[in-house]
Amino acid sequence: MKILNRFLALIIISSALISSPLTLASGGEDLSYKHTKEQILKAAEKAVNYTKEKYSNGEILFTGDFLQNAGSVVGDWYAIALNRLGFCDDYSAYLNALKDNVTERYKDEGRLSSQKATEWHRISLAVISCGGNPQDISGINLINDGVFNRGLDVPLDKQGINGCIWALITADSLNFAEPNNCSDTRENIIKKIISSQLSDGSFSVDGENPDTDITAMAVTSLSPYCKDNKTVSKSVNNALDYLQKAQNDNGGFSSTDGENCESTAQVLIALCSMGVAVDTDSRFIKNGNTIIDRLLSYQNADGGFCHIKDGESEQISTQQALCGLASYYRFLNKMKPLYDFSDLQVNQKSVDIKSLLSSASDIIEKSENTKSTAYLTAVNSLISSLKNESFENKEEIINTLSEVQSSCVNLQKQIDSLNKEIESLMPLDNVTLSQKDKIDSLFEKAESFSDYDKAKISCFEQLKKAHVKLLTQERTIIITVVFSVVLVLLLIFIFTNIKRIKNKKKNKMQELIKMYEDED
Amino acid sequence: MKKNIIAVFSVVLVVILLCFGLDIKSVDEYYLTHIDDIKPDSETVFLTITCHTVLDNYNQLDKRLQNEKYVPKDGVILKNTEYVLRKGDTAFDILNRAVRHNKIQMEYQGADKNSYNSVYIEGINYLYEYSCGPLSGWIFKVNGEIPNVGCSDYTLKNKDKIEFAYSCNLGKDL
Repeated sequence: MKILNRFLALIIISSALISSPLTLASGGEDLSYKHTKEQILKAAEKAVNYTKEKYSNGEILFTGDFLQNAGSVVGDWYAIALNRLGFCDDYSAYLNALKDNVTERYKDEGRLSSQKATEWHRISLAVISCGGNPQDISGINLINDGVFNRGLDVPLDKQGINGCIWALITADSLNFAEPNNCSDTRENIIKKIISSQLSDGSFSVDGENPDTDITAMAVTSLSPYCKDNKTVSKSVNNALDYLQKAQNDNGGFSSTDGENCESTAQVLIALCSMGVAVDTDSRFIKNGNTIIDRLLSYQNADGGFCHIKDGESEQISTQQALCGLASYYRFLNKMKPLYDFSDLQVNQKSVDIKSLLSSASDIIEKSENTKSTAYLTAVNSLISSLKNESFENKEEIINTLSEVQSSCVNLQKQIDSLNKEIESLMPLDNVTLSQKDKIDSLFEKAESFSDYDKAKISCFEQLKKAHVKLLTQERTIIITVVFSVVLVLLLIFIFTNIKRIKNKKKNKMQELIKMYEDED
Repeated sequence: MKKNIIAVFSVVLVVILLCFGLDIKSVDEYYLTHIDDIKPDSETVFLTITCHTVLDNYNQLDKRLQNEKYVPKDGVILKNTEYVLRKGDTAFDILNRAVRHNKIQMEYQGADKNSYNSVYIEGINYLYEYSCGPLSGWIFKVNGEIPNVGCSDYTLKNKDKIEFAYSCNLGKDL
């Protein structure tokens, strides 16, 4: 047991010490790589510009509507990729948005996710990339909750082996210490990963069918342990053999739905983390094509990357390609592997005070015209950025922004309660007139919201339908009643007239009779 | 006199009956309230929501979900139902209308937040991805085939048969 402990300690310490990638060729500097650092950097800048343009964000990516992506697959990988490329951006704005997202989601029973531990892992890496401390997000410890003690709640591999793979990557990102009596130690996470390896060296989602992405991620996660652990290095070598065979003739990599950008990027990250010189290592050059050649071919003219060759640019492909480019850029610069944050540096570039203030007045003006929850993320980030600045009328502006903020929160509460009420009435097929007042007031409330918020109201269409249905029912009744009353009056009038005319005639006749009688 | 009164009332009665038989509404209102009514000439599709595979892997199912409320005995969450197909409807649109109408719980990731630029169904009737083993989740089929696009990218045509089925093995058990 003691020996085991010492061995374990050695693994942990060595993992902390192994800093530089295992460079293959000692004379790496002399090798003329096919792609230069500048080329890679340029491709990465173009990709980031594509996303900035998509959000019409100008020079800064982490601002405005983009911040709504904090805590999701779409946003977090950008934070990680940009940091690892050393790009300047407003990381603190993204960090604030992440904190809001995490604290909000922790109010749910399942916290970040009832099933996926990888939610904790991705968010932790994004928090680190923004210079935050994932062990203390307003008292929340993402590392313990999502890695070492996740097993107390839900097994790490509930979602498959990638839960373990990313747990290990996250644990080693800043060499976090294992808490006492934790449910998963590094040692047993590594064991779980290795024991899931298939006989051909690959790793898989289902335990049967080899999967390129998972194999690449497994290699990335195990890479820091190769040097000192023979079992690990043997397993990783087998995986590399598998990847070597799996590479397509064009240099790219395929997943179950064919060759794609993300799988190719994942393998690139894995190879770089192992220090494989992908541009010169003959094992990974097919027909003269390298993995970099192929990855760059997924970049469209607009700067974005596509999922399947010649497709449209999209967010996930672009950010995964960026992570791939970052890992290769770091390799070329002899920096630490992509997920080793021990050299962490955050190149914070805040949005300048002028544009902050102009977007503040912009939002204040907009919110005076239309109330909407759409401003919430932007207002949150504006408040936290402006707090640390000094400018004229600071108190007044921040107070106004806080008012907008609380009105957004209030509006969201109204939407939530409205949704609950509507859902309790579903299905609104057989509404009766007795429910009219209720339906009308709900509909009126729903109608008063902005279009952005109307989309958040569940069953708005059904509500409108029920409202119109009752409206026409009521109209029918009114028309019927009015019509009947008019008819009754008309008939009475006609009858009385007929009577009068009859009486008149009768009288006349009688008069005539009388006249004749008199004559006689 | 009596005759007259009876005549008046019978006429009024006929008028009331006529008016209630009539539906007095504008064209827009008519269109809105009857959009989902199935008429002989309307284009329709069929939707089923099932979770048969969970019954075969009940021991793998999350303990909290081992309840008939979440997993019906026959594995059918929504029996085959016909819905009017509106122009441009995707598989997701039909599912969304159906679950709301039938008060079935559903959670999804929006079109802007996942890799295929498509809506991703996380859970229906509280059955989520990974609720029944690491390979479990929702899969949709159209006319028996699993399309290679997301459900919000699949535009339906007349008489398509859509099935949202819970799989415990990446769709291989369906």
